Amino acid sequence: MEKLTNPKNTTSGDTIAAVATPVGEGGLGVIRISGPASLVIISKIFRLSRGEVLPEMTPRNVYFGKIFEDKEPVDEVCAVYFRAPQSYTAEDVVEISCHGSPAVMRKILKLVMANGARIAEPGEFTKRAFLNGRMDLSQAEGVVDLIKSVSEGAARSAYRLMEGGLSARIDSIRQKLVWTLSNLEASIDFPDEDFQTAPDEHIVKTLEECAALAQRLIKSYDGGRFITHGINVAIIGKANAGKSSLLNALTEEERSIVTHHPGTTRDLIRAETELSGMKVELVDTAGLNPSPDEIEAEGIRRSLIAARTADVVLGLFDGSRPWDASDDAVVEVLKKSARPIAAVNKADLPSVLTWGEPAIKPIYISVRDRGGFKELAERFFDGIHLAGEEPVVTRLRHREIFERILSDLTRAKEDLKSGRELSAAGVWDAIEEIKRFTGESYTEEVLDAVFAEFCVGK
Amino acid sequence: MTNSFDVVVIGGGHAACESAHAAARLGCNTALVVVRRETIARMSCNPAVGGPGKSQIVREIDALGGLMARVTDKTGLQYRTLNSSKGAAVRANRVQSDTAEYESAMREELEKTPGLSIIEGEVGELESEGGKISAVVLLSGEGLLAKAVVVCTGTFLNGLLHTGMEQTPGGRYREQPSCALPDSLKKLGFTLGRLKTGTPPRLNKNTIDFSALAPQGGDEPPPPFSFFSGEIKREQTPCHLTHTNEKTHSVIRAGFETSPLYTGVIKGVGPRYCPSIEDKVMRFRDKTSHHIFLEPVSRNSPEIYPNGISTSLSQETQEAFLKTIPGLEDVEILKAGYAVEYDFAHPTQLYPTLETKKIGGLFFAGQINGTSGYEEAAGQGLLAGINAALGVRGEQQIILKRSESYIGVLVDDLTTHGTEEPYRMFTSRAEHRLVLRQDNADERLCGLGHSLGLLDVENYRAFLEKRERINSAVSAIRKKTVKPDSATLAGLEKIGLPKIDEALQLDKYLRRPDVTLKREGVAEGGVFEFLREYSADETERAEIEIKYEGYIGRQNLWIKQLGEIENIPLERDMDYANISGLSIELRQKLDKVRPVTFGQASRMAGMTPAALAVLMITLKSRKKI
Ligand SMILES: Nc1nc2c(ncn2[C@@H]2O[C@H](COP(=O)(O)OP(=O)(O)O)[C@@H](O)[C@H]2O)c(=O)[nH]1
Ligand SMILES: [Mg+2]
Repeated sequence: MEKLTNPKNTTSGDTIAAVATPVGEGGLGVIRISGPASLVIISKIFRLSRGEVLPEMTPRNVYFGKIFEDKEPVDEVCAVYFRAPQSYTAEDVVEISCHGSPAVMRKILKLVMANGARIAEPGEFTKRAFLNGRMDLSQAEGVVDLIKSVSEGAARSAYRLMEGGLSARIDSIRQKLVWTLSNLEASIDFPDEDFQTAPDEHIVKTLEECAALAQRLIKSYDGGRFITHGINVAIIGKANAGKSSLLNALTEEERSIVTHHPGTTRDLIRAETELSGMKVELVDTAGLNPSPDEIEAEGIRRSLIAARTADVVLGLFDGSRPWDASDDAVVEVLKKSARPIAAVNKADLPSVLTWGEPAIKPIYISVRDRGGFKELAERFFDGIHLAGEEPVVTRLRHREIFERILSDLTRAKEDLKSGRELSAAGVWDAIEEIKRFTGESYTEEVLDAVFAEFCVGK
Repeated sequence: MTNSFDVVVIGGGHAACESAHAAARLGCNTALVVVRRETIARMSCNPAVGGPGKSQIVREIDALGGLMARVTDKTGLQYRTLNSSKGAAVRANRVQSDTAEYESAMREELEKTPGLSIIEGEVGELESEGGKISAVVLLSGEGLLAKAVVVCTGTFLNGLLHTGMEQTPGGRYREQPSCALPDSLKKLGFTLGRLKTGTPPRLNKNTIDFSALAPQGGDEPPPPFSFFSGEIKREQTPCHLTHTNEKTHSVIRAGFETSPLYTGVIKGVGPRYCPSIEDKVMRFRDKTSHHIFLEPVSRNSPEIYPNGISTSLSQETQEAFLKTIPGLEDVEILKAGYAVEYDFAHPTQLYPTLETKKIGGLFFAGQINGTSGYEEAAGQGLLAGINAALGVRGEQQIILKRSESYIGVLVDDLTTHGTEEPYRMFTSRAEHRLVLRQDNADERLCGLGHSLGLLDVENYRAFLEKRERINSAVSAIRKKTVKPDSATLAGLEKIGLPKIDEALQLDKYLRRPDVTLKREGVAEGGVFEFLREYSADETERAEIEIKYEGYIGRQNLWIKQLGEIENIPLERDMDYANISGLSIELRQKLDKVRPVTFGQASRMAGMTPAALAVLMITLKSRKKI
């Protein structure tokens, strides 16, 4: 490797700045400056505690002092300098920690900009970090997800992605594959040498382990997708079962119209809420009336579409009334769903309903006194992989890569029977896919991902 | 200055031979400058051609119209196919050569090539004018005007031989090194590095007791290298297998103090894949035995090449450890083993045409580029010879792609990454290995060989006819249905193939991992008798084509996907220093390597997709693509 001749290894000439801590949160605020002018800017606006001019800053040392605007102190702060390329962006970076009131932070940021920085676009620090080779593609994608994340759960999983959780998992697959290849290739390229390579059984076992890891990641995708994009729940049931009331109760606002007259909810009503850190979109639908008039028929048609496209279908039954043909219709819809939930509402009233579908086991709730809500919320996430420490695949691009890896490895295992060369071909293919994941490989697909996320070159 | 040539090739090794032959065949008035005519095509190391990765190169040379395969077929002592059970793409021919016959057969080929003169002499200096090569000056003072020059000087540049603590300047055993040329290259602005390689002692056949050793014979019939050799009718000579033991290793350990390797005398970097015996003993302490192939060097020579014990220990230690080896108890050393250190020119100074970036018309090929192996050298020599001639004719030079040949892989690796140890080809270096097989080298390159005018018209016609016949065999197989009648089932069982429960297409059946046509199957009375009209070679090719269809389809798709970006050309004079958005480090690297395609740029160390995206945008905005 050649040495860098210029430590100020920047991707572009200008210097950017932004508040690096979440907006509106009290306590401490951090303003980050990145680019070649970072040091010049801080030296212009910062004085040490006793008023001395800042000496040449030692990287990673903390300097206490004040930010001044025309000799007027603005705030007491500390400043840290990270020298390129040992910084988040691999450029010269200065971070100013201040007292975090929005007004103070705005003022400091304005000063920074007046002295030569421009405001950073969302994700621009990350873009620079990525362009300068500080993180691999999957990590950068994680940061982008973090910035765009819709809920706490999404932020958590994006954070894990950024931290390299997926990268670490795939790295362990890669190491196993490299071991496998070294054995396959050694016996191919050195047929005359008197060393022993691992026997086929051992290679099969390793390939199976890797396939299982890939399989786990593929399975995590559903959960992963739900984490980033949230889940969509369609509430269906006969008129007056309490669908609109349930939606209102879960979102705690009066969004649906609750009436005693059946058939009010003709249009779909959507409302978003966050349950156990996950974004949940609820869809309230028109009651499934077996003998509808024209307007009702249109409402029912829409309800059925909503049920078909939902991640979870919640069938709501009225416990205070007997089972009828409408309930049969609801059961039919539930049976078609991948994630059905049956809930009998109005448990606060005397039970009249005799449950009519032995194949489905309902839960009992009362919207009025919020009874059974905890169980209901748990049911929403049933079968959805909500990993604790496990890395989760949240992007379609990643899922497709793991699917191809799985099929490459399955082939590699089969092909061991016809010769090590074909088996090796499958393993090479899998490694090539891994490179697409990390962005080491430069296929059109990877370049597209780069262009899409990071508006490179603008 | 008296003589004037189109192309002057310096050196007499395997690179030089192919280079001079190709340039002359392409119509250039060519001179081959060699110190002594008798040393042309010398096999200074092991007496064999081929092996995995290398055999594919030999076949590629053959398909383009080069010499190595033909000459090898004519002069072999033993012919084998390696890796036959591991798959068609890694199957590799290897021939033990009669080195004396090889040398003279190659010399004859060169002597009868029209337009090629062999000149004995040693080169003192290369001269250039305005960034273009102009002349080669011999130590004798004689000058040769040249429009293009190919330097193939092997291990001769400042060569230094080590045996124990004794050092002798030399390029090979008892041959003087070249000390003037390295200075001339440096003066022209080239950076040189230093490498090391080694060779075992040569033993006297008459002092070896073969009776206790396991012989290893050739395959029958002998598999030929060349597509155009036809049947080989030569008597085969066996090699013998023996091995070191703990006693050998303790003698070797005792001799470490006279090892130039372990005492730090040798500075050059040696190859990891071809360690000396002292290296093996040192690094693999648990291994109590290493095997040794005793290979005959020539029918008319008592010399035996013991493959596996290259060494630079002192001659006394060599003698002592040899005597502990079964069969060698009374052995006599004819030539001591030695290590050789030599200068090489970092190959990132070359375009993938093998022309140097500094001096137009100047090409480097072979070990001077940091490679090892006759085949690797010959492949480069051929490419350099072709491009030197094309350059002289004012035509577009050729670049071989990674997806079409091992030579392409070799040259791309060298010119993109350079090398820190002697570079040897392995099949695992070829990411498109399944399509770069030795069996289909003709299909990959005969067309090019023909259009260059290098491949004989007659051979090209033979290739086309064979291609026709393979196609017809493939469609015959595709049309055939195998039915589970008693005759068929018996026929399958007879040659050990799995039985079938229902009628199915033969091509489907063939794609099963445990099914092959088998020679007995195609023979008279066999289940696949309908293929009898095709030669064994043709049915085999047809079978591979069918069996590998899926894989090859996938690789071709991949090549196509890559191809779209892979082949985007980058201008040789691109202004990398001013591409904003690229790190300064990368800008400097790009400036040095000057990749000729986007694909080559993508393979450079430190290149990231982000950087490639930036490069792509720059290209688009500069309207160069
Ligand atoms: N007692 C009782 N009444 C409920 C409960 N949930 C809903 N209701 C009432 O049932 C009626 C119909 O509710 P609504 O949400 O409009 O039903 P929808 O037609 O399914 O949307 C309203 O009067 C609600 O107040 C419940 O858990 N217990
Ligand atoms: Mg309603």
